[in-house]
Amino acid sequence: MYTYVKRIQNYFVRYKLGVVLVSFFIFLSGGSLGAATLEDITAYSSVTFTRMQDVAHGLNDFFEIVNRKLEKNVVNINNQDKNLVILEMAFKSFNNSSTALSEPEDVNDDDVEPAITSRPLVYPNPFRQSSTDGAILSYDLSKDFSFEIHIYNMLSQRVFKQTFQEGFFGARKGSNRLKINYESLGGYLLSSGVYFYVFVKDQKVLSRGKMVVKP
Amino acid sequence: MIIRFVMAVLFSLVIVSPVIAFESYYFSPDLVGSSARSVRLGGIEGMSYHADSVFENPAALYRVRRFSTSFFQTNFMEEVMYQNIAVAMKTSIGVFGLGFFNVGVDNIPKTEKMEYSDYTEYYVRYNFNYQNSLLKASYQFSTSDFLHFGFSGSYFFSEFDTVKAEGYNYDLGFVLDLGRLDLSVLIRNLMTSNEILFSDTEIGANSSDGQTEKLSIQNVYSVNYRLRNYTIMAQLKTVGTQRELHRSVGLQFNPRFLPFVKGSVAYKQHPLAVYDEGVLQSLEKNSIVSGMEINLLGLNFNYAYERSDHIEFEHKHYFSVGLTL
Repeated sequence: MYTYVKRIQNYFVRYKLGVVLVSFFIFLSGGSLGAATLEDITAYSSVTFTRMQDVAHGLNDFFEIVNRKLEKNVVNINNQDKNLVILEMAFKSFNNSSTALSEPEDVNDDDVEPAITSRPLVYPNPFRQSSTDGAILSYDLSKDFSFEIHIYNMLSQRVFKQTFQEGFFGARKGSNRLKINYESLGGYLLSSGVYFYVFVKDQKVLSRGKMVVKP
Repeated sequence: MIIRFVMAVLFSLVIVSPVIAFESYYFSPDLVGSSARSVRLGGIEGMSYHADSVFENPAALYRVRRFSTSFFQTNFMEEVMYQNIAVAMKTSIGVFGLGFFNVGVDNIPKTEKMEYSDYTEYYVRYNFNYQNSLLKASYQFSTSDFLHFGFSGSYFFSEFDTVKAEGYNYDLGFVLDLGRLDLSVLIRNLMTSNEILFSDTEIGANSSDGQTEKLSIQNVYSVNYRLRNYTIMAQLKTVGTQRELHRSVGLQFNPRFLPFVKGSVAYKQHPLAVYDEGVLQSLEKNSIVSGMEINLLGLNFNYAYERSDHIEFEHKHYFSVGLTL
């Protein structure tokens, strides 16, 4: 028995049968194994390293890209819901450089002017404030910053004011969604008509728009 | 008899007990004021000499001699345009008046959304206009030289995007003219069961088809006292079934050396439901308004100024012109 095993080993060594078998399997796999590059392997490693690095940095940059486009990530315009809810997260980027472990990529918004970068819109418009669904106020911010939303009626009287704090719901970089419904004014229902919302920072108007309430 | 009548009215003022209320009503265009003259006097009604009385106390139309017309316009926040026109004519059986009031806002975005797997995009599909109108027809008759009655029928109509609304109501008032002292009493929208009915071609939960909005019943008590070159005016107004109290007091000066010019200043106070930083409250809004009138051979021009709450548009200007023959 032992002599047979020894013969097979010698046969493999002598005729490089291992090379033949490996080539055969590569052929069967359609060359995918052969296409695996060094960069890919490095990237996979970087995922692991980045995760570890984020943990090491106290989760800084870990929640950089939060998907706020989904409507379930909406807070009421009255800003009364103070719970911290992380609904979805993703990695900002995978850094394959050799310095990934020592120098995390920083995003510095200090030089960015606070601004509303898209036209604020209310959907649907017109809408029923008396309903549960109400409407969504959608807008994009250039950076995290504090601001106020004022709402005026057709007599130019202010009927609503709410401050949004930097970094919290409604005042975060990127896309923000606020809900306007029967709860928004503490149960008070606005008369049907046109209302004007204004985004204010440091007594300066950043942007404004109009919406129509129907009963 | 007159003294008893005045006492009865004063008693009714005393028993008025305002309450803090958060009730909302249909937005009628005449809430802004019937004319620049009305605004510069703090919204005091029933003391006009012109056709704009159609929007106030129709009993005050007794001051129209033969024919009167008035036109009023103002613009708020560069968006909201208020306009009205009124005419009144005296006949052998009384004074007839007709008025049309409109408030409009143009280019309101109709929005739609596009759903992606993890992304919702909102965009403007088209723009629509908002129009809210009030048509009033009035009739005034006098039972004596000092007691005058008036009656108005109001037709409310508004339209925007897929929505239409309409309704009607009535006003009833009288004016007691005691020479230097005038007293005006008006009940506006006295049919409390009459509501504005909405129809909507939109389907689904966002449709307001069949919904209604109340018209606010208003009791307006005004006095006007002339003293040489000055006229002092005051008004108490209760709004809605919750009797929200609106107060106004005004002073008008008509110099002897410029008899065709009048200047005025007025103070008004009214409750306003405001949601401020998480708290719903009924604020007492105070404002001072001022203005002037120039009257040239029956053609009168009025201007009023008022400060606004708005952070960007701090000033409100009102203009009206009238012709009285």
